[in-house]
Amino acid sequence: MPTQNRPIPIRIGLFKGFFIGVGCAATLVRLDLIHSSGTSNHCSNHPNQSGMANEIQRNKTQSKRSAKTSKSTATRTRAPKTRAPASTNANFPDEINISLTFETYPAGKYTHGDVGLSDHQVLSMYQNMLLQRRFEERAAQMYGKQKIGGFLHLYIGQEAVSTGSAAAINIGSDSVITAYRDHGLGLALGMSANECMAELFGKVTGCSRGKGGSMHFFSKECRLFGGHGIVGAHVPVGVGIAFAHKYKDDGGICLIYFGDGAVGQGAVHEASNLASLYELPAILIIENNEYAMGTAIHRAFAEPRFTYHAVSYDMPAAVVDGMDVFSVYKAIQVHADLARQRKPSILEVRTYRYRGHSMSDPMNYRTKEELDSKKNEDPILRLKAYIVEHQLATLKILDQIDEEVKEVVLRSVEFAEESPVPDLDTIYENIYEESDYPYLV
Amino acid sequence: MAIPVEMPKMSDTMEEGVVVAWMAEEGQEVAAGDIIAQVETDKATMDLEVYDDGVLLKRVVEEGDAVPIGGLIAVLGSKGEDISDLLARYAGSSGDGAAATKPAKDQDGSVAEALVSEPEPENKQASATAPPEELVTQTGRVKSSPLARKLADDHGIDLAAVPGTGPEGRIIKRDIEARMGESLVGKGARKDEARRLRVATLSTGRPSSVEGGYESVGISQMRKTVARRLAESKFGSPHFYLTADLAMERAVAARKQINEITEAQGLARISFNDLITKACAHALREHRWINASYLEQEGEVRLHNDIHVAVAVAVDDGLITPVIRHADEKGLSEIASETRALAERARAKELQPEEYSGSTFTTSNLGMFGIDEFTAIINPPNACILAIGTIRDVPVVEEGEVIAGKRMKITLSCDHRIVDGATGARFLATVRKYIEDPLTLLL
Amino acid sequence: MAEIQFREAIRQAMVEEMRRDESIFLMGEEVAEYHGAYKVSQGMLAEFGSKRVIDTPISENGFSGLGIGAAMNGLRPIIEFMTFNFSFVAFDQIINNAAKIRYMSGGQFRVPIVFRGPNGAAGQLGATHNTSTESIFATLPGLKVVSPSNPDDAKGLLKTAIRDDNPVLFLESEVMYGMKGDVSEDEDYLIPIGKARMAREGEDVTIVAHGRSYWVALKVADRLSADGYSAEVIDPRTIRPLDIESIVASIKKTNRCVIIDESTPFAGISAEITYQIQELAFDYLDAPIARITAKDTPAPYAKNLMEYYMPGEDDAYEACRRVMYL
Repeated sequence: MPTQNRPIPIRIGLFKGFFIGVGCAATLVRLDLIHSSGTSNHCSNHPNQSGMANEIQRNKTQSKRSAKTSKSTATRTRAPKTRAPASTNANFPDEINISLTFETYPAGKYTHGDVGLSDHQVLSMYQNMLLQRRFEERAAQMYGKQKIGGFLHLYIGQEAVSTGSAAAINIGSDSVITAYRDHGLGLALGMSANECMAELFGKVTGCSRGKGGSMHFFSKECRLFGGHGIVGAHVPVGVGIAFAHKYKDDGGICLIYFGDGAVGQGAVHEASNLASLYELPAILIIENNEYAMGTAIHRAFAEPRFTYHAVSYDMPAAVVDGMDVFSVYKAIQVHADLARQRKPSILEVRTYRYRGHSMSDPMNYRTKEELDSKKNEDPILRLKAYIVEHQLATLKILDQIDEEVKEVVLRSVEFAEESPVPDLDTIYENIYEESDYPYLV
Repeated sequence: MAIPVEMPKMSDTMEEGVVVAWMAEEGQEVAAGDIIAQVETDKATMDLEVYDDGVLLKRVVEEGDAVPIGGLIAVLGSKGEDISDLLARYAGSSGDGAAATKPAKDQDGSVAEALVSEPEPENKQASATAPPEELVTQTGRVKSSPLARKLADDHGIDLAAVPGTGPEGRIIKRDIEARMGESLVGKGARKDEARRLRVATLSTGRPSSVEGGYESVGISQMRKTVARRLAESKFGSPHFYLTADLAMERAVAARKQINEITEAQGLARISFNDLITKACAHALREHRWINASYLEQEGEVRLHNDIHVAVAVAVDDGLITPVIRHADEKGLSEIASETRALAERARAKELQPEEYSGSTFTTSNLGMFGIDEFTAIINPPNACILAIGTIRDVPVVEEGEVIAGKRMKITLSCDHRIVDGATGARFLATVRKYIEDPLTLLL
Repeated sequence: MAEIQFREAIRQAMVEEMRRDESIFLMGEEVAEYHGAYKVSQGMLAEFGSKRVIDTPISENGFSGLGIGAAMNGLRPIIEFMTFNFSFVAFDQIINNAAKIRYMSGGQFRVPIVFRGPNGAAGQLGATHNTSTESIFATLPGLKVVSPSNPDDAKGLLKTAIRDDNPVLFLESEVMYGMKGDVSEDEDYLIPIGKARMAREGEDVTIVAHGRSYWVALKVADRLSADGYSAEVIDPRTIRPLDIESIVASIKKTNRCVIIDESTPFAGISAEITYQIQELAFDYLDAPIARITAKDTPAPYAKNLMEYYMPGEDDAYEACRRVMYL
């Protein structure tokens, strides 16, 4: 059990030759943008930004506000958007200094009481994480038995992210969209093991009627707007879901999950800009498991400190230790509140996947030692130890939970096995709204 | 001046060459050194080169025709030139001067008549839009638009007889209509009249349907299966046929006797067909190469150990062949009752796949329809099928006297890939022995 | 009926539908304060405000995806591409998300969205700004592709497209925006998607032409009429679904078909129409189907080359005479 004030290893930046900063279980990185110029006050007469009226137009003050903002919000001051007349050149800065502050949510910092979780909730979160773990272990076995085709990307090791998030939002009114490693989030949001396993088996009883497969879990009921197979392409879609929440003013927010690999996609940057520009109720959540397939982040990004990217879009950002479900829960709570105030933000959640990218991945790009050390941080073992230490339940009860979960998963395999395959006629269904299809040759 | 193009000697052993492809059209300008055709010799396919400039006035032979060395292949000359003298000269000369050797009857000089009498209007060869129609027919393929083909078919017009006025002589709708106009309006019908006719035809709405209309009926699965399997058999295995006329007096008498017994014992009545099934089953024991399958894909012939005789049964939408398994081991009564039960189940469409598959031999009987004799298509993978005709009352000569006799014709269709004539004939002789004298079945 | 411009007809359709349904919004580059790059959305910002008429950064991939997400979450976006040439940077969104999410989700999520804007050639703009996209999009099941040729159709079809629960690509033409025509003033004027318009009846040859090519077809029909022949002109109006029944019915009458299409020929709309005709009306054809398309090249810049590039009236006229064996 790590101590509560264990320092968070901030590994990013090492190869850059400098540390952003290391602290103990507290605020780590601070960034301010300070303009030194001949005039002391920022220009306040910048014109209304074209095209955006009040509802959409961001209403951000141009005055310094970093000192006044809440602790949980990373902020920065803005550069004036217009210059004074060229003849004076008075507003043109002599130099631009940047200093950044980002909130972090380290592992071991929060007790369940701190974040407002009841004992019972903790146990059900434990059960949910176990469900994801056992489901995927069994899915891997079924893949080996050729019951599951195509790709199978396992989420094992990342369960605290899905469970911590789902517990912190209003399932059924808030929205979630994710990439192709989607089984965990689906189960965390309340999709049944049966419909998920049946989808993997390509059965008509699957959540997407056997038309989606592992990468394309959807649930309208749980407002899971999909697992998506094209890296980064769903991030603009997620921003659009948030746009609709704001447009309808229904109080909903959209959690948009994507991996570290997606950060290289243009769509993610366009979407980030639009989310901030239109002040949409969204959280962009980077599940940083350190590898995009087999490419480690430092081999893929000139700036692997993803929080820095948020600065370009004038969004707050924070770093979360994704191996502690309470840290994730806390971070999502805070940033969901921000989103509901139309303040989109970026969360970099540090996590780790224990399995390969997909079933065919030999994992040559990382060492066994690295994997073993990460396994010591296993989010499920961590929570189990916490529960026992805080006497929320006995080991016997935890074992009983495990047995129940295993039973649920076994039943889901039986269900999938026994379910019928889709009728061939269904291949023509769900393409258009119309069912008579004069549209298909 | 017209220049004959003759078959050259292209190899030291060549005696004739086959024009395999024309490379130039009639009416086309050619220059010395141009290739106008390809000729297959006994050694190779060679280019046929011309040594003069001029217009290709006539292709005297068609693709595929063999021409002896020195025979006339084509005529070059100037546009519109009369070549009838030249053609007559080649046609008239005997021996090596003959044109094509393919139509044997043409050797006596009728070729010359045909060639000479064929009109060669001067403007025809020159016209680009209306090339000579024989150009089209000579290549063996009639060019026509899909619509023209359908119209011609619907109205019973022979496309080959219609001059095409489309590009490259393609027969198009107006050509068919012109022909229809001729028959309706008379030979003097002008083009605009034909056009008016076309419009009238169109306005009646259904210009292309057969008078009286038709009923469209979907193709049933059984129909499809029958069609596919029999087409495969008929076109995939070379059939030949052996017919025998059997004396049936004893069989008729024997059947009568047997049925007196079956009736008394409450058994199934024996039909002639049952008798034939039994006879065939017995004969098959002695002729293993008839009870066989030629399996091309597996690359083997199978001589079956068991004898399973199928009996073709007509059902509502096709036919099906239920199988009497181990027919050689079964008694007549057993064969009779089993055949009847299977036939009933077949008509009720209750047969299971294992009941109509796996036969080694098949019989088909159309005797009840009064058919004297017929040939049947082999039921694959059988090697043979026996077609059974009706029993006829015929006058026969016995010991110098004409008496009333009974005869039945049976025809064996054989797959020549495994069954040769003598093999089939021997089998048929055995069958004859058993049917003509049913008591031998007891031996 | 009132005589208005093509662009006004499109605007009327959007305005009327937005008045009727709060969930509709218009988003795109320069649609609000600039009043639209081609003044299609003139005045709409004033009526509907910036909540519903929304300028975007130059970010087609981003705002196309945003529209798709909004559509999945209950809204009915109209996404304007300044031209469809720019839709290519949003290809992934249109192809993988708009067209397929309904299918991949087993029918749980629908994407009622309209992508609209000018398509096809617009003069001497060079290769990147002169692409006809209809065959590219029409190849994808899940999308509907509409291409009106006149103001009245534009209004009736756009209103239908906005009310459609599927993603619809609505292809306009830069050079037709100023074209005037009588347009219905009925607020529920809906032209069904998937129905061709018989623009002119005739019996000697069928000319199939959509969008701008339709006007070429009419000129050709006039010339043939002067020659004493009558051409039947069919404007499919929608590319997918394609009203092949109307085309086939016409060919059964005329036995000949010429297709005029601004797209490039290879695997183009003309190829698909030709295939379907031979499948359904083979026995009625008295001549091979002819097509007059853009040249199979990128669009050039030079004026003479560009004129040569486009499917020409003379070529179409000659093609008609050729299939009539004249």
